[in-house]
Amino acid sequence: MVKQIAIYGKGGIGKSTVSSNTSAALGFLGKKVMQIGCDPKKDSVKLLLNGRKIISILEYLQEYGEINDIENVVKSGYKGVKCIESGGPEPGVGCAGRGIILSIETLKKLGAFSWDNDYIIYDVLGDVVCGGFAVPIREGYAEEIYLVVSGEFMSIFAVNNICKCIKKYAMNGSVKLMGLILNSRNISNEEEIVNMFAQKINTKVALKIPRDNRFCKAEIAKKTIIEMYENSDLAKLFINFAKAIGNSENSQNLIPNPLNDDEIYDLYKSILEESNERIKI
Amino acid sequence: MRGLRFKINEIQEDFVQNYSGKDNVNYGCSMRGAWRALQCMKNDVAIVIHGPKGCNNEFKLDYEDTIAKTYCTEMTENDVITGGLGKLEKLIFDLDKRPDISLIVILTTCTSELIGEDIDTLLQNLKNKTTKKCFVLHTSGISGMVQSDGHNMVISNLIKKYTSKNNEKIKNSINYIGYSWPFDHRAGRDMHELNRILDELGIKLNGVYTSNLGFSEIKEASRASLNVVRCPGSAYGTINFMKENFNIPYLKLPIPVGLKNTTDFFSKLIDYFGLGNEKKQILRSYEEFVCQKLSLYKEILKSKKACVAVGANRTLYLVEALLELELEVKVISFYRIHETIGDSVVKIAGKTFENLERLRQRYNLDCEVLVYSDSKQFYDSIKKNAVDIVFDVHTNRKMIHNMGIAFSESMDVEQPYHFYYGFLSLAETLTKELNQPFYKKYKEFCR
Ligand SMILES: Nc1ncnc2c1ncn2[C@@H]1O[C@H](COP(=O)(O)OP(=O)(O)O)[C@@H](O)[C@H]1O
Ligand code: SF4
Ligand SMILES: [Mg+2]
Repeated sequence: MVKQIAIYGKGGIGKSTVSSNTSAALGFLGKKVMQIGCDPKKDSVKLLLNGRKIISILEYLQEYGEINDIENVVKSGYKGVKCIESGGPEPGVGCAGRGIILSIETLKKLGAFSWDNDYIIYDVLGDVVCGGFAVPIREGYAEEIYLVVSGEFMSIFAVNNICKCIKKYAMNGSVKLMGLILNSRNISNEEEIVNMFAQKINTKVALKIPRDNRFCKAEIAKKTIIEMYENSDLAKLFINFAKAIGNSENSQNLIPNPLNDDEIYDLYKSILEESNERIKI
Repeated sequence: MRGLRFKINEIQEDFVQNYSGKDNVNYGCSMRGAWRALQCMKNDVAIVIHGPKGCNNEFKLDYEDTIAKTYCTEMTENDVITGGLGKLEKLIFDLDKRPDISLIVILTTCTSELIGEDIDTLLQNLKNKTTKKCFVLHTSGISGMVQSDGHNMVISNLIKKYTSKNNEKIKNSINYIGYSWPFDHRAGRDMHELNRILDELGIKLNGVYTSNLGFSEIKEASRASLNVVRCPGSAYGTINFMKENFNIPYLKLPIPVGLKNTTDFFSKLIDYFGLGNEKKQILRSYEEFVCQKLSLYKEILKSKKACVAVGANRTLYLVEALLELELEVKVISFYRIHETIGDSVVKIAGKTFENLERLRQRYNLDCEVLVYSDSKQFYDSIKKNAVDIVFDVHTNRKMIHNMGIAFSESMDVEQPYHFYYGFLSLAETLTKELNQPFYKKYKEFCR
């Protein structure tokens, strides 16, 4: 059975970094993986492809009208990970959400979802700007969702919004919120903030990634951490996460309980007040 | 939908209030309304629908060369995703090169508005690269406007943008506003007739907005000394603008169907311009002539039972015309009682019920009234009242014919039906229809 996983989070938070390192780790463990970038930025799979160019589904459709052979839009990357970019319009024109809908429908028509895969990873632009961006978690696609977050207010705010959308689908049992991925920005009280937020919305922190320069170096070398620093502590982090994903069957049906705006402010206020207290002592 | 069915003598106070909300407006696609108003202009006008093929679907009829031409960018799903302005720009450039086109009007659709296509900026950027006049109307169906708003947007934009302020007024001249039918249709003959009679009366028809209107005539709109309102829904923006900016007053005249309404129409103009009794004599002689001719038709039309299912504004006038032909009006049906939004909703609802009351008092009319009826109620009522002929929109023709009932289009009839000659022609059309072999045989069979 293929396991489909969606990774959401606000723009620039590290979704593509997490997605490609997770795909690479799964590939490293011998699993068959497909990663679909659902972001008009079209840069989801670049590390897996070592910078080789890929034509996105929408670019292809625009150029040739239709896709006859799926091979035209799929490229094999590190450890055979099948890489796909949905693509999207130039900033400020058209409708990116509709683009996601068309891409996913096209992949379905072409049979991409019935391939022999162990994992499909969707790397989706974060703020669920419209219905199109919720397509990867509609019935029949990703069942497990991870949210990438840091301690920054806007990142928590965005993830909380995504939870509002997830809740709808989680209520009828079609998706599960598997947890938050804390991608550290090294801000003060970061772990505390994210832990408390996770607890409040009824989820857990499934992975903690430190802020680390090697991400930047790997990016410049156009490689994932797994490929570039195979034996490093960072690589192990993702490999362990990949293993944990494989064992996630036992988790219960996790329905998030998003906060209202005031509650998010209160959360920050209480943590800041507490830390002021501590400083005084 | 709250269907309402009552006898005309049972109109209740709260009807107006109950049927005055925004929900009771005759919603529809304002793009279609705008298209209607534009397509009957002369062929130096190009209409560009910026949207998918489907929005253009009904408008493909290849009218004669006298009529504005319609083009469509035929947006595809890909254009929705990546934006369709490139296609639009290309089409504008192509049309701009054509010597036969002087004005390009772009209409937006739900699709182009949903993705926020920035056509205004595009046109701004094209200003120095193109030579033809070009503007955009935001007419998408989703913006919650009604069809007549589309008409209204066309007329008022044309006049606001292109009519020169400094024109000298022509004495005893009128603009006829809110009448948009293709000229090679019935309208050509109706408008010809209007022109002919006005000529006889010494009144000049400066322009009809928008039947057979060319770009050069738009500039001249301010020459008229009076605006005559045909359809208030289509005219409201324009008449107020012209009153303020060109100092042209307006007059709401009856729809000139039937003898009384036609004579009223011209008499009011004669009075307004102070043209004297001798001109009214002309009207009287027309009336006499038509009356004589009518007796022939009346033999067949007399006591035939009619159902009138037309727009609220036209009901009053058409019913009066039918009574003149000695038909019995047994059912009046409104799909919607308003055609415009905003404050006018309450006014129009009130007006509609007022008109019904007027018909009852003046003609002792005894009929059933349906408001928002569903088809079951409607067919029930025409059967119960043993209706012989139904006036309705053309799409219902087959259905009514299948019931063995004669049918007349309420609006888009092939024959002229306005003014004196039009009234004769209407009588003839109805006589023919009621004499249809199928209709007659079926009636006998049912008996
Ligand atoms: N833990 C981290 N430490 C340092 N840099 C990081 C880390 N995670 C991500 N980055 C960098 O942040 C930038 C944005 O990450 P990316 O994965 O492209 O974000 P998204 O896909 O959410 O838009 C990239 O340059 C990436 O290398
Ligand atoms: S889609 Fe919208 S613009 Fe197009 S015809 Fe329908 S209502 Fe009108
Ligand atoms: Mg990304």
